[in-house]
Amino acid sequence: MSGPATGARPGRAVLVAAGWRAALVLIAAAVVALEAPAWARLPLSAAAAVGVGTFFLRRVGRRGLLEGVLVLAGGGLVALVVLGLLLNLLPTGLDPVSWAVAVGVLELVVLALLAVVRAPAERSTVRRRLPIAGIAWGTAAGLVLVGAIVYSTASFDGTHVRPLAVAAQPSGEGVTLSIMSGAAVGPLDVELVTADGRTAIARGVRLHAGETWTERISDPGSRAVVQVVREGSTAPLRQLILDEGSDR
Amino acid sequence: MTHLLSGARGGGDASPTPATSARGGPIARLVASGFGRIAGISASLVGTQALTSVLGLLFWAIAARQFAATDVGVAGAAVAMMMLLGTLGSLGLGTVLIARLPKVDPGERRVLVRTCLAAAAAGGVLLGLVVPVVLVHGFGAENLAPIAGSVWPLLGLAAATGLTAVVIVLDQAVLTIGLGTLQLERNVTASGVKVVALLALGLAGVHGGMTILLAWTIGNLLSLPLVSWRTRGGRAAGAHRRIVEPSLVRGIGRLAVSHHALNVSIQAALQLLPVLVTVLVSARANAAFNSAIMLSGFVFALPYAVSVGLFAAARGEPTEVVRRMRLTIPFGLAVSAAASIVLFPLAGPLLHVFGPQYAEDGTVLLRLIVLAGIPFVIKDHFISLRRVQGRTTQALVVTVVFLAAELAAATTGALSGGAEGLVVGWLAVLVVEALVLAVPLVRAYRHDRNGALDAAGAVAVPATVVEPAPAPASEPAVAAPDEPARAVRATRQRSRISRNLLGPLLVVMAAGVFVMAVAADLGRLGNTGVGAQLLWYAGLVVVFLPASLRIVARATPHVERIVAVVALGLVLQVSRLVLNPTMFVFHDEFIHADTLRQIETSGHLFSFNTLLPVSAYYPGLEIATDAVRSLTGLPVYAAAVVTLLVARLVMMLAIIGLIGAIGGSRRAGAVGALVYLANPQLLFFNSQYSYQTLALPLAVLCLYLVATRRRGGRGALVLPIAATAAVVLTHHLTAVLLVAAYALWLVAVLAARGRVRRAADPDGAAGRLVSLDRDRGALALLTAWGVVALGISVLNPGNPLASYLEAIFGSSSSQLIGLSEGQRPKALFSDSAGTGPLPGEQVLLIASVLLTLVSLLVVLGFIRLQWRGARPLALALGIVGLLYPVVPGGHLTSATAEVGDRASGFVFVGLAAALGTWWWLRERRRRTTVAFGAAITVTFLGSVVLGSGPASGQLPGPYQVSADARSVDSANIAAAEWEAVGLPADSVVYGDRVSGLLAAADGGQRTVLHVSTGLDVSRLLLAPTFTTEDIALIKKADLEYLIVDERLSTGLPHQQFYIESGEYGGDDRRVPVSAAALAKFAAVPGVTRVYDNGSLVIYDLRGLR
Repeated sequence: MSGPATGARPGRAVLVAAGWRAALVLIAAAVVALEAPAWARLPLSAAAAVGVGTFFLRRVGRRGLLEGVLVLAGGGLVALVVLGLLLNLLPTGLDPVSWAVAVGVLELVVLALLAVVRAPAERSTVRRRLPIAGIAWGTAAGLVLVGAIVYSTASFDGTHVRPLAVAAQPSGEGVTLSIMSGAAVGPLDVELVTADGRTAIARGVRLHAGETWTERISDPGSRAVVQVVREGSTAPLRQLILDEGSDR
Repeated sequence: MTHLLSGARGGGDASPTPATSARGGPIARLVASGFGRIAGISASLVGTQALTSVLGLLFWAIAARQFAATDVGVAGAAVAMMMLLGTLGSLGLGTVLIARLPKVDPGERRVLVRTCLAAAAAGGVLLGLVVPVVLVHGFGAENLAPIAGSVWPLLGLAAATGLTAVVIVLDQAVLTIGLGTLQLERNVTASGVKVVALLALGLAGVHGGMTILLAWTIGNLLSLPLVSWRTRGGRAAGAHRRIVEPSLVRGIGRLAVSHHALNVSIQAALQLLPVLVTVLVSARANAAFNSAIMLSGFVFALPYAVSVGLFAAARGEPTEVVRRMRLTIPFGLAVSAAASIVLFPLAGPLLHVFGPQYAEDGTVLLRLIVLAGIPFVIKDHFISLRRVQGRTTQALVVTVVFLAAELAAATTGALSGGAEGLVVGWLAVLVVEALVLAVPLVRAYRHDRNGALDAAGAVAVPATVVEPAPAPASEPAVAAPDEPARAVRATRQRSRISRNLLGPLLVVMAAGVFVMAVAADLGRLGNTGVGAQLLWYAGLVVVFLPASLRIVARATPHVERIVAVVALGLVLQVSRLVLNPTMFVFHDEFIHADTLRQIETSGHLFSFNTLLPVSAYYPGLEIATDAVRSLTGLPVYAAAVVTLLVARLVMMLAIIGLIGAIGGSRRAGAVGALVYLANPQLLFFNSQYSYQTLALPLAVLCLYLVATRRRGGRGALVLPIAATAAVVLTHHLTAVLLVAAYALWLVAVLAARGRVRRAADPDGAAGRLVSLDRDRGALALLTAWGVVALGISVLNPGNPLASYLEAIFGSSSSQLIGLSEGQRPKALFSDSAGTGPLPGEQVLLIASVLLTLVSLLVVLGFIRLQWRGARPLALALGIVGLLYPVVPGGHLTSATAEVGDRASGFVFVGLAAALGTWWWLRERRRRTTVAFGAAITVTFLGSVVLGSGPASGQLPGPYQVSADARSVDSANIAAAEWEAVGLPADSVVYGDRVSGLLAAADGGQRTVLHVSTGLDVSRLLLAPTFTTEDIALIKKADLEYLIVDERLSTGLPHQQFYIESGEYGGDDRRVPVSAAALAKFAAVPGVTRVYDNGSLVIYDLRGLR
């Protein structure tokens, strides 16, 4: 590696390389600060990080790619942790805007330092071929990994079906009842059981998968039980207990 | 295989010279290229194939018209399975016959044939019995139940498979005995009889999918007398009295197996896909799929025959194959492309042959499937090239790896998009495969064009997976010119060194993860038995063992070794995702997810985390995750996954770099990193979303940065100082241990300095002394800075670190004292609910501990070496490695088990340094290398059991009581989701261990725990009756809601407690909490039940306050 060349004027090529990366950093910071959706933030932030990273590897290559990647990844994590601590001191704290500004400034400073202060690492004179086979194999492995994760996600979603649930929430002077289910269910009857007997709140309720049924009832005034039963049955599938004393 | 060998035996004219081909016109060039010969062989093959295919088409068309679509689907799967198992069962004996028959005495030929046929029949029957039973009963493939769900169909399938194996061997045998047309005759006879039998059975009113299989089998069976009659022999044939003679086939199995395995791997995808469609989609879907496959066979046949003809016409000359590929590849691609274009409009009409339903269901499938013809052209040519080069083993590895990828992608596609999804997934991998396999073809062509190719097989060097890599510096780059023999040896050795298998290795590792995903899927479906557990371990072995062997092998190229070990670390991290792909599920993960949620909500650090207050004061991991989330817009869980992957990358690279720095070789670093991966906490605990998962990599990074800094440089300590601060901000215990490591290193520097000063050569020692002095200063500074930073963190208002650590050390020391006073140690191989690892897992665990204990001898030697060499960092690491007995020893009590396990993340850095360095001290024999790689794999597997418990606890499955991930299911997830919307944010709630965690992390509530409030309110859940004491506790804790999981009464807790340490009745719990205790609030006046999902109920307690 050649030693540092503090004070030397960077060449035009270096300025161009740093310049477009700086522009990319600014665009990414702006998009993050505007809290754009993930499809815009993710590629731009990743591109900015990769841009700064490649410039780092090009200008500082102490012991080759391994150290370069290690210092980039490790240094990046260290920088984020320390930046987070500093952002905590601001009244706004850690939010997308402050992160965008802080990381953007940091990346610009790194680009400037690398462009101005550091001399380029010695470049190998060996012409490197594009590792097409490696890329293809890597893509194949990546596809299998992604396939495994997609498979697992589908398996998880297929087996983690939300059970039939009933809930009550205070709603003005009354109570809003909700029935939810991750699978199609019904017909169900919803009944209110009080000391005076059993009255129907709703009959023949059918729910599609993921659907929620709601019904507002007035406060029963005394202890009462809401039961969800199969149509025509009295054996409760689910039940709520409404009582005096709570802040309903 | 039959066709291939048939083609290989075909003669032909001598090939023209390149000069001739260069001078002639197009026709002359065509002839000169040998295309005419290839075309002749191909035409013969295609003719045979076409005739039998047409009859086959007729057979299936009749079946489709006579039988229900479901029956045809079942039959398609049965025939595909029979063909595949029959091919496997034939054991490559056809090849054995071709090689052996001409050499044996005429009197023994029939015995040899009978021996091979008997063996093939036995192999086929065995596979036909075992595989379907395993598929149906082991893996729950219920769609295959009509084939193997009862005895008679199963026996029928086994018999048919045995017969298939016999005819496969027989078809090859008849080629050798000079009856070339007999194969065609037998196939045509069998196909004709099948059709007649099918019609007859249909007319007789026999139905069902197995009837179609029966007709097929009858055809095969009745074709055998023809062979017997046509091969009837003379005197010599009948001279031998023995029926079978195994000794006749000894000694030639290896080549046969190689070719056979290659053939099977090529054919397996097309034969397995119908089975996959039947199992994963439905038998009916397979009816259309099978018909589409049948028709696409015509498209695939011609390019395949051309590539086989290419192999046959080349007569063993790689140069010929390469030259003729210039014509055959474009020809094959053109034929396939044209077929795809033509079949696009014709797909529907052609499928009408089978029936309108087939046209409706199968048109899109057929259009998609024929597209596979294009990548097949490349694949077939690649295999032809490798065959002629004699590199069948390499071709086998490649095809097997891609076969696994094809099946994995097809499975994924089938699960998400049915039969069409399956084809799309399969095609996607085929395209990638074609791109990969095109590279060696192009390279071989370029070498040929440059004149670098020679008849001795030099083309073997530039293969897809052969990436020339620099030889190690210690070895001579080239041999002396006056030593030709040595030069050849050196070239061969270099060739071995330079063989780069990284690409296939990565795909194999990914395939291992897919196997683990399948095991997890089985678990989610409720099949948590030994089969699913073994499958999960098999996946782990597929991920770890091949990589391990490549990493420790001396011949592996340097780049491959480094990338392989880094990839292994990352893949193991990713493997968590197949178990829990969408959410946090572990105790500590919920704690940190809660801190992350609070940061997101408030924008500030150091909030009050009710689950574990101390964790909020070390929020480095959450800060990094919040940054990733904010900058990318990713969901929280995805941002966490990205952060953890970067942390793992840093861990792997830092260990490689650190060991490389102390041992002078990154090869040692790679092996050391592999050893580190075998630590008991690596797979689960130190890869979960928890602070030490980030802190550990940063700590190792600190050591690396200090060790490799430019001594004397002005800014050399800036990054180590910042990284040390980051460690302190991330995890208290890691920070303490990092500072301790600095201090230990400083002491070692001082000791080394004394030794160097006393050295006999003062002049030579001067340089060392300067370096050691600089290290002394740097380490003193970093130690002081670490202490100051830790002090600042402890003095942060509200930080309960002191009391937290005091509690841990208190409980650990009291249990150790109890142990020394004769108290019973913690039950080994059993958790608090009485479940434990399988016997096999116990063996793995013990083997792992023993192997690691034995390796401490190496560590001792390493320490001695470093002491003599006055190398302080290596010495310090070696001493850390010697602490390994703490890890298994800690498991004697429940409190120290956790401490011991946590220590492994640090201890294994020392072990990694010692073992990695030791491994490269001298040349190792191949056998030793394999043993070392296998030993690390066993250690890894046993460590998983030691650190995380049995596989049954790690795999998803039905709900278990207080069992971390196994307790997180749809019921309590649904409850937490409702809490997030149905309860006011930050309400004070109480629940069991898992419900409380979910309420805080996902429900956005404040869970009361003794560790955060000093209040033990566990009697609310666990006491049998409701008393005034409960009301007092509710008021004292300001409790608003109570979450009750009524399933707690179904068993004892697996993680010692229902809620937390010191809970009501927890000291000597022998029976589960009663259902009455859990239901008591339903009868308490003033208490409202606001939520009920059948398992969990939530009570509003505000009326009692």
